[in-house]
Amino acid sequence: MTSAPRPWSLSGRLTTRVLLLVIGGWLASVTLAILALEHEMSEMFDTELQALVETTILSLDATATNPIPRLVGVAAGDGERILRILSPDRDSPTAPWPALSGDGFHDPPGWRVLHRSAEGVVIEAAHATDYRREETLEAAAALLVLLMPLVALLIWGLRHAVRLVVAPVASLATTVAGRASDDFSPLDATNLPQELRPLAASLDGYLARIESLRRSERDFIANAAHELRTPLASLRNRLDLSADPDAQAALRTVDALARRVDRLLQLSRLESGLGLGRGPTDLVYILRLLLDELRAKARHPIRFDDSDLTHLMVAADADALAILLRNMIENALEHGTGEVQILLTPQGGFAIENPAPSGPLPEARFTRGVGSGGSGLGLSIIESLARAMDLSLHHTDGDGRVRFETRFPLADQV
Amino acid sequence: MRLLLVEDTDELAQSVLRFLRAEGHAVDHAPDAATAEEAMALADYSCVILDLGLPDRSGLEVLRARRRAGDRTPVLIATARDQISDRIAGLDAGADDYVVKPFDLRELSARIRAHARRGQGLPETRVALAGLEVDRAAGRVWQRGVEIRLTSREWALFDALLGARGRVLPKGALEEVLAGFDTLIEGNAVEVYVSRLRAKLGPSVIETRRGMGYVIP
Repeated sequence: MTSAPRPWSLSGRLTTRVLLLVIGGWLASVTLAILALEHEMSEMFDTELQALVETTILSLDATATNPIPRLVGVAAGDGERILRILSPDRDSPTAPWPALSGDGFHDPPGWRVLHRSAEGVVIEAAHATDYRREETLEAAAALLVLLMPLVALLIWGLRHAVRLVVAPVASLATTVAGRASDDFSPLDATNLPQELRPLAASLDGYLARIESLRRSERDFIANAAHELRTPLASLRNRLDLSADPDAQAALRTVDALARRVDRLLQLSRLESGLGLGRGPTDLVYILRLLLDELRAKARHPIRFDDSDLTHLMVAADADALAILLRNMIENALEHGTGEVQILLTPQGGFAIENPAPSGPLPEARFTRGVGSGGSGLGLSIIESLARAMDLSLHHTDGDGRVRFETRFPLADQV
Repeated sequence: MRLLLVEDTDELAQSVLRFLRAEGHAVDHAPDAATAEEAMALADYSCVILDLGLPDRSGLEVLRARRRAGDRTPVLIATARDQISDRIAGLDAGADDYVVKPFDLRELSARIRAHARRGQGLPETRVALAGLEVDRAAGRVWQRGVEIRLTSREWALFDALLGARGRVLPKGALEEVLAGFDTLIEGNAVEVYVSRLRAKLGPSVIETRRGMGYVIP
């Protein structure tokens, strides 16, 4: 089983890696510095012990009387730095460190001791190793504390620099994501780094190909419309002008054929990406044009309530909007049994309602509704277009009335 | 009426010509843009039926050129282009109407009658009123050739008053017209819409008869 890869970002990855590397390097150099420091400090401490012992010898030299064996802290109350003067005749005490023999430095557990015999006495000067370690750590801590603001500065500088470097990538991503779905113009590559140019160039290539495919598909559909409609018009007129009763019957077939051609053309337009555009389009104007055309042939009266709007700009492609509305109105006229009511609200709400015998609506392509002269394509066009246009369509059916409702997104006010 | 049919498909043109001539019109036929422009420059037509996909040039270009030259002859576009954007482009170029092929010949004829001017007068379906042209069938109003857009409620009220032209309609009757729109009618709704109509169409179109109602004289 493979799980989805965790999302990651260039700037995050870059910042973390550089930070880890730099801080790791710093820590290594600080460690080396501390090791060197420890060595130097231990030499310094040893020198201090030596100086202490020599001073003691000098002062013992100056006194005539026999020295009295004793143990003193170098500083008052200090148990960590000790000077011990011992008589060689007596046994050496075994605490805080065991008896030592031989001049020079000794390292009994917990201590660093300089042992020296002179002037008839034994002089021992010692530092507790804890004391030495503490001093070394204090020095190292000062080193680390001084590094902290530098690390903070590094993080800030790094973030800033990475953001600056990654900015073209981010802006390319924003531009690509923010493009309208029907915008096929090439990307602006002027500020892009070398690494991203091939990406932008191939994206431009794809866009151009999609655009040309879409255009040729549209041209083909427009041509097909012309090639189909013109002979249909000739045929219709000839039948219409004929006195033959069979011709009058054939007229209805031609009309049904024309409507089917209409809807097939609409369907292919839909499949060639109609409905992706986002206007702006004047919904009131489109409805008036459609009603002007449809009223002439309508089986039922149509009442349009525009809520006193003379214009209503919505974010939808004019042609897609017209096909959607035309199919909704034709559907209501075909399946309905009385006046079709159309209502528009200033918020972009649209409702179409008509009396109709209750029953299931034809759903799939080419299924024909009861009493329908069409081919049942209307509803499938309505549904597909609503999907392409990001509209949610609500359908209610009850009390002998059918109602379709949707809301068109208003175009941004300019 | 003298009409011009601009259509390159001969079979279709012949059937339209036959029908319109049978209706008593004198119809000329132009199979391409060049012939059409020549004919429009020479003769004074009551209405031109214009196809868009012509072999030499687009019908839209012909229309635009004639409108630029100041020709106000009513033009009805009859084309296979069915997209609403084509229709809007046609109307913006100066067409008076737009029908998509295949069309019903009787509907074509009705639309010609709706737009064709008789001599210097108005088309059959329009009435003149206080400097306005009104097409009641289409629900449209023009003032000096410019269309004034009325909203559905404004039109309903105006149409009711037009239907009773010369007769005073009481406020109650007009409230009933507005109530047909399924919304709550406020007490002063009739006054509001009458004043909106006066603002759009001119102050003297609708007269107030105190205590009785409103009238278009």
